[in-house]
Amino acid sequence: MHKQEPITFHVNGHAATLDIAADAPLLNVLRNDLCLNGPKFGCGLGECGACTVLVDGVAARSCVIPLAGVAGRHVTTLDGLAQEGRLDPVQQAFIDEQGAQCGYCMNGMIMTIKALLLRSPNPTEDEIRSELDFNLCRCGTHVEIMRAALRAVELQRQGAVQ
Amino acid sequence: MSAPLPRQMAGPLTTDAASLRHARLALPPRLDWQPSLYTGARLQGLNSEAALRCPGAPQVVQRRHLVAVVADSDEQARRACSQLRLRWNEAAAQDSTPRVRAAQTLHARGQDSSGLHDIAMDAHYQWRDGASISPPAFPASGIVAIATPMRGGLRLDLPFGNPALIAMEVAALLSLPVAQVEVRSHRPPASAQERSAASDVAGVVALLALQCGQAVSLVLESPNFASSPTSLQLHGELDQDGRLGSYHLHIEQDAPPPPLAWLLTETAYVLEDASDPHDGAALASPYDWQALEIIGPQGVAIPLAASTFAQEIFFDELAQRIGEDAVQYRLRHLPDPHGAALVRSVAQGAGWNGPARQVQGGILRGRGFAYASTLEQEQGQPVQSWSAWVADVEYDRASGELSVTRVTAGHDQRVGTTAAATHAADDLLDQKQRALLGEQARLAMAQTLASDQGFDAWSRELRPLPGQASAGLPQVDLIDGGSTPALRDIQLKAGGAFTLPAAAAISNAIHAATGVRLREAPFSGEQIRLALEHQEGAGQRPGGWRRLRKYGWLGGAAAALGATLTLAMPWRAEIAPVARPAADLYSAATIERGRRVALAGDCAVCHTAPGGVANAGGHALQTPFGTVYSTNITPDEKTGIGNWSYAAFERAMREGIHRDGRHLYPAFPYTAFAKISEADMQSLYAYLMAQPAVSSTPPENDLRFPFNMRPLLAGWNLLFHKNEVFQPDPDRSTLWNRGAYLVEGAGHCTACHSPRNALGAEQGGRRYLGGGTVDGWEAPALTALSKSPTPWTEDELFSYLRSGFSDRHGIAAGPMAPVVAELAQLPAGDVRAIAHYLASFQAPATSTSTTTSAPAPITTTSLSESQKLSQANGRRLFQGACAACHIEGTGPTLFGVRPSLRVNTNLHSDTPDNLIHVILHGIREPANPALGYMPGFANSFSDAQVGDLLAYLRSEFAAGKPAWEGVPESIARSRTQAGH
Repeated sequence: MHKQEPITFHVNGHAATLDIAADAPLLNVLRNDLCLNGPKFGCGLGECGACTVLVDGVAARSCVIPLAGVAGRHVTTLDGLAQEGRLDPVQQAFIDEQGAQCGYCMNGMIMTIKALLLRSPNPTEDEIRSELDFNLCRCGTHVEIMRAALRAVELQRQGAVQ
Repeated sequence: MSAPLPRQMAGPLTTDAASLRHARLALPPRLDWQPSLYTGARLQGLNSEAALRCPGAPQVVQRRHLVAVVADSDEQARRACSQLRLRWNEAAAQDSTPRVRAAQTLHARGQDSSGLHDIAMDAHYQWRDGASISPPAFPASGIVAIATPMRGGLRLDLPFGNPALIAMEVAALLSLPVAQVEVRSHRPPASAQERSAASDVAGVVALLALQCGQAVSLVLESPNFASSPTSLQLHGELDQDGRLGSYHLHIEQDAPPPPLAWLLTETAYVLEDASDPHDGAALASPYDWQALEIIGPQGVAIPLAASTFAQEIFFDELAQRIGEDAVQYRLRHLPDPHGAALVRSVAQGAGWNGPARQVQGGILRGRGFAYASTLEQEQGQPVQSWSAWVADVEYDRASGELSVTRVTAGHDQRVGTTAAATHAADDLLDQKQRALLGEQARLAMAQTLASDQGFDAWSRELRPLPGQASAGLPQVDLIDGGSTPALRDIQLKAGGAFTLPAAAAISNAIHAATGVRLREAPFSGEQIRLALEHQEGAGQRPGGWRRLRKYGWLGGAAAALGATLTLAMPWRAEIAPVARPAADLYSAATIERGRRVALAGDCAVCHTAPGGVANAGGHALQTPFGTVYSTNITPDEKTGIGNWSYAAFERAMREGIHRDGRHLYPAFPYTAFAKISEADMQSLYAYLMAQPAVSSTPPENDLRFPFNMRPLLAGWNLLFHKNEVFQPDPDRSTLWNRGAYLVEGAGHCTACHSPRNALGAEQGGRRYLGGGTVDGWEAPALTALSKSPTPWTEDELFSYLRSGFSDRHGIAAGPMAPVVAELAQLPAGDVRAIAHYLASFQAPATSTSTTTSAPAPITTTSLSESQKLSQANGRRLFQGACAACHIEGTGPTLFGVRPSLRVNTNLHSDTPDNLIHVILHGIREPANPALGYMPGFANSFSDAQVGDLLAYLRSEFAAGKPAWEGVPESIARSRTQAGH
C-alpha cells in the first residue's frame, strides 16, 4: 500500500510485470500499456459493461479495478479468446448473427456471455437476459445480441460433442 | 499495495493446470476420537445453496463428516466453502482427561518391596509431544497435495511423506489395489507430525479426486485436534542412606488419531501405527532400583522423551530430598560404566559444581542436569546411545521471560555388541555434524520452552521461526563421547538419546534458579511467575492472613496514591536519549512477536501518511478538537524514536508521555496500550527498533485553544486514564481472555468503537464498544447496541475480520479496511479469539427481528410529493449506477463480492455518513483485493442526486427506519474529505 513494487499478472496466458502506479485502472493498463484494445472505455464507473474482461474466469469491469487488484491473477481479454487461430464459439456466434451494429458494446456482450458459459454451460434464455441486464447497448441491436448469445450456447454444445 | 505474486509450484507441473480443480475442506469445529471411533462434532445439516451460487463452478462433496468444496481456483473453493451452511452437533463435551484404556505391566524387574523403605516420594508429570514443535507440520498457508485419477487408479503428489506407507493407506481407504496408487513425495517426513499430516492430506485429496473423477489440488490447513498429553505418575521409595528401593511408573496416553479421511468418514483404520510401540524396558529408569515396575497402555507408542522427562526430574527431586548433589547421586546409582563416563565428562566440560543458584537484581540463574540412554534396533543391529545435558537458565522476574543461556550436551553411541574402540582426535565431530546436532538440540529446547498459553500468548500458526522459541536459545556446547563417524549417521537418523534429556535438564535448572518445580512440559515464563507468586503467598505465616490482608489493603491504597501523584504532575521529566539499540540485541523470535503486536495494534495504519513510508508518520487525524498528525515511529535518531530507551518507550505507551516529557494527545490510544503485557511491550520495542530508520518530520498539529495546551492533559489523564496491565478474568476461558486482551489492549478497538464524552474520553459500561466516530466515519456498535438487522455471530465476526466481508453485514471500508488488512496477517487463532470475545456481547438472535420480514410502516401515501419525486429519482440513479453490482436476485456475476444492501449495517444506522463516504469516494483500497472495488461517484453525482439516492436506499433497504436528517450537511462534509 505504501511502497510501490512492480506488479505481475497474467494476460491471455502470458505473464506481464509492470512497474506503473498500482492504482491505474486495469482498463487503461490493458489498452495503453499492453495494446489490448478489445475492452472499450464507456462510462468509467462500472455501469455500462463495455470494458468487461475475465479475471480468473469471472466477468470484471476493468475500468473500476486498479492494477493492484489483479496482481497474481489471470486476466483474459477479447483479444485472447481465440485459441490457435480458431475463434471462440461466442465470437463466432456474434459474427454469424451479425450481433454488432456500432459495435461499441460488443466486447462487453461477448465477454459477459463467455463468463456465463464458463460458469453454466447450458443457460436458459432468462439467465442470459439477467446476465446481460447491465451491459448497455445504445444503438438497438438487442435482438441480434440475444440471438447471438443463444447461438453461442448452441455452438459450444456442438463443440463439446465433437 | 503489496501484491501477492503467483504461487510457484515446487518442482515440475504434475498435471495439466487447466483441468486441475481446487478443493477446500470444511473441518468440524472439534475433532476428537476414541481408539476406533469418531467422537468429534457430528454433521447434522448441510445447506450448500449459497456455496453453489459462488463463481468457479463449485461442487460440494460430502461423506459423513467430511465436507469439501471443489472449484476452479483455490480462492473460489475457499470462498464457496465459507458460504456453506453447516450445522454441527457438539453435544459430546470435550473431555481432556486421557480415555480409559486397558493398562498392563510393560516391564518389571526385582521383587516389589513397596512400603518397606524409609522415604517414599510421589510425583505426577505431564508431557505434550511436540505441542509447540517448530516448524510445525502445517505452515500457515496449509499443505498442498494433488491427486490425479489414472486408469483404474490414482496418482498422488505430496510435499512430504513416506510414499510406500501412504500408498498402502490410500489403497485401503479407497479399496484399490496398492499397485494402482502411485505416490510421489518431495521428501520423507521430518517428524511424526509431518508423517501424520501427510496421511491426513493424502487420504482426503485422494477421496475427492476419485469422487470428482478429476485431478484435484487440496490445500489443507491445520485440523485442530484436541491434543493428547502423556500423563506419568511416579512412585519411588528409598532408604535413609540414599539406596534406591522400589519404583513404579504409571503411564497414561491416548492412541494417536487415525488420519483425517478415515476419521471424518468413520472408516476403520486398519493399518498399524507406523511407529512400533517401544519395548517396555526402553522406558525403564537407568538407575539401580531394587525393584521396578512400569504400567502403561497396550499397543501405544509412549514417547521416550516423556518417560525421560518425568524420570530425570524425579531423580533430581530424590537427590534434593536426601541432600545430595544431582550428578554425584546419579553416578552413585548408574550401573552402566559407559553412561557414567559420559556423565562425568559432561559435568566436567560444563564445570559442574552444583545447581549454581544466583540472584542478580531481578534475574535468577541456575543450572540443571539430566541423563538418558536408549537401546534401539537399526538395520538388525542393536544401537545403544547415551546422552547427558547441563542446562543454564535465566529467569527475569520483571518481564517473566525465561531463557536458556547455555547448554552443554554430550552423547555417545555404540552399534552391535563390540565395545567402542578408542579414537584419535580426527574422529571428533566435524563442523557439519556439530551443526546438525546443534540444530537438533535447539529444536528440542524450542519444543520445551515455547507455547505460552496465557492471554498474551500469540498463536503459533504464522511464520514459524525454525529452531526458535519465545525464549532466547543459546549456543550448544557439544561434548563428544568418542565413537566412529560412520555410526553417527545412524544415530542422526534414529534420533537416539541425544535430545531426550533436554526438557528435564531445563526443568531442573529452573528449579535451581527459582525453586519452582515444573512437572509439565512445555513450560513458560508465565508458569514460573504464577508458581512464584503462589510460593510467596504460601510462605507467609499461616493463620495470619487476616492481618496480612489488612496490610495488603493499606499497601494497595498507598500505591494507588503514588500512581495518582505521578500522573498528576503537569510536567514530566525528560528521559535521557540513548544510542539506538544494536540491531542484533533482540532475538529473531522477540522481533517476530513484536511484529505481531504491531499488526494487532495497527501501528502502521495511523503512523503512515497516505502514500508515505510505513511508520514514518504524518497521517492526519481529524478530531473534534482539531487535526493531530501522527509521529514518526521509525528508529531514526533525529526525527523518530531511535534515541528512545525502553523506559521512555514504555512510558509513552502506558502513560502518554513523550520521551522529552511532553504529554501526548490521547488520539494516540495509550489508554488502551497501557493494557499490553510487559513481554509484548518489550517485543514491540524490539520490533520497532529493528526496522529501517526513516528521516521524516510530520506537520505541526493544528488544534484549537485550549486543546493545544498539552499540560492540561495531566488533568485529563487523572480523570480518564488508568495505567494498568490487562488482568484476565479467571471465570472466563483462555480464548475469551485472549480476545479481551487483544480488543482492549494492542487492538485498541474501543478507540473507535466506543463513544467518547465531551472531553474526548472513551465511555464504558453499557456504552463500551457501543459505537463511535473516527475521521468522519461511524464506527458501528460491536455490542447488542448494534444497528445491524441481523446479530453478529462468532463465525460471522471471524470471517469479517479475516476477509473484510460478511454477507450478512457488509464490507470493511473506510478506516476499517486497513485494520482488516493488518489482521489478515495475524495468526487465525488470534483473530478467532477477538471474534469469540466480541460475540459474547451480542444480543441473543431471537430478540432482533430481521428487516426482511418487517412491514414498512411508512406508506407512500404519507410521503410528500417532493419526497416521492426524490425517491423516484433515487431509484433511477440506483438502476443506472449501482444495480449492476447491488441488485438483488438478478444481474451478472461480477468479480468480487456482491454486497447485499438490505443487510448492510450502514443503511440501518442513525446517520448516513458511512454510506455517503462510500458513494462519493468508493472503495479504492479494500481490505483484500478479492472483495472487488467500487468507484466513487463524487464527480458524477450532484449533492441533490446523492440525496435522492440516499432517500431511495433508506426506504427500499431499511424499510421502517425514518428518513435521515441533516443529509445535505453530511454530503458537504464528506465532499471535503479525502477518500479512504
